[in-house]
Amino acid sequence: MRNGIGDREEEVARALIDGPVYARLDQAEPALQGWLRQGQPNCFVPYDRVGIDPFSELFRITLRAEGTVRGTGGIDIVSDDCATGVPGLYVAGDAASREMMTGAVSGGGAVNSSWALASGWWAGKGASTHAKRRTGKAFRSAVQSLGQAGLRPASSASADISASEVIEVVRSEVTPLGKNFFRTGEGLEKSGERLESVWRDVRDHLQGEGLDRVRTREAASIAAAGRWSVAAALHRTESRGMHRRTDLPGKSPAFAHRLVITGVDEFRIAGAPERLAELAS
Amino acid sequence: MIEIVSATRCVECDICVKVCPANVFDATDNGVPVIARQEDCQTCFLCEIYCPTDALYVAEFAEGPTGITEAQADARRLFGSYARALGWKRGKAGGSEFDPTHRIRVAQ
Ligand SMILES: Cc1cc2nc3c(=O)[nH]c(=O)nc-3n(C[C@H](O)[C@H](O)[C@H](O)COP(=O)(O)OP(=O)(O)OC[C@H]3O[C@@H](n4cnc5c(N)ncnc54)[C@H](O)[C@@H]3O)c2cc1C
Ligand code: SF4
Ligand code: SF4
Repeated sequence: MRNGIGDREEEVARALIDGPVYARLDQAEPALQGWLRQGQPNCFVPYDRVGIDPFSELFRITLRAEGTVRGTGGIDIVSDDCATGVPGLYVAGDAASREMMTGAVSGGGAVNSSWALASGWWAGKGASTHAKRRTGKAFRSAVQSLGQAGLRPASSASADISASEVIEVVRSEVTPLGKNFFRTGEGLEKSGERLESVWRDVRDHLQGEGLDRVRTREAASIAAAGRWSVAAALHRTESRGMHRRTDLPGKSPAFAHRLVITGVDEFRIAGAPERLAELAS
Repeated sequence: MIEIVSATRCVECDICVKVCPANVFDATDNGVPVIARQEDCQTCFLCEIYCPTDALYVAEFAEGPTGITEAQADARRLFGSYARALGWKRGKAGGSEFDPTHRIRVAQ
């Protein structure tokens, strides 16, 4: 294959499921090689460290799941100061939803950094204004911890469940190319069931001590996010952008909008077409 | 993955302990920091570019240690090679003025 970018990524993904795939950057003229090295030093340092010349030698490649980094999706923004559905919670950058700008494709190599800066500015302003309105003792003494999953389990903490095991299971459902680059209704349903049971264990029993609390909380977020993403993928009965259903290959006009999931333990999924109507008016 | 803290280069400033987003290092009472949680390393190279004396080496392989030694990294002039490629000097950011990406864009 001469170029594996764009639509041909699918061929690369299929080949990776079958076995190892190798690449070589042999279409770059010597001048371009120099420019690439100078412009993207972070891309070439790894080759230099292994001792490979990527312009003439073959190297093994893979595809990486990036989650919300470079991707799309995130916590829904409800106002122009980046407030969310949770009072006092303001979001920015990769944590905030970006589909308003990027649609159904990645904002990586594109708008993500400028979005991080702009939304950070707006969210910072929003959060500080919110805080200013609530200064004083009354507010401070009323502050209480809210975090549950991974911090304060709903039932008894158990040593039978660990953060690393939770992360391992979620990864095994959301990162394999056969399950998530190419999706099917049946596969997503199976993943959904497994993630549901992991989520229940996390919610009821996962807890850590000291620094480990960061770990258990991260594992809880990963379990929650994995569960949401699989549920949303199952709900979207079409293919669009990075969402490829091999059992439903075409785009459906009924899904030409974002999906918003509300709720943690029990959640519901709804389309967000009203937002598009507002923008258009 | 982070592999080497060079005791001969390190000036014990503990910057690496502070900048690592995965909390991989532990400071020690009176000595060089230790790699306390190597398996948590994300291979982000941040510690390496922040180190003022190029005393750290992060190998390219993210899934596990390669086992490279200080003598080997030294012989191949690998200490500080990422900061040099970026154009960072003495812990200060810079180098983007040498970025020719706009020329590539024009050529396309
Ligand atoms: C390989 C790659 C290439 C990219 N290329 C481009 C590009 O060409 N153009 C472009 O526009 N964008 C690009 N992006 C995307 C862009 O870099 C990101 O969208 C942007 O950096 C996100 O900024 P952020 O501040 O939202 O998140 P981050 O920069 O990820 O910052 C989040 C911070 O939170 C910290 N943190 C995490 N958990 C906790 C916790 N529990 N407590 C305290 N702190 C915590 C982390 O350590 C981190 O410092 C690229 C991203 C990657 C990974
Ligand atoms: S940043 Fe470098 S010099 Fe400073 S403590 Fe870490 S290794 Fe030593
Ligand atoms: S490479 Fe990144 S994650 Fe690894 S030790 Fe250095 S700063 Fe920490």
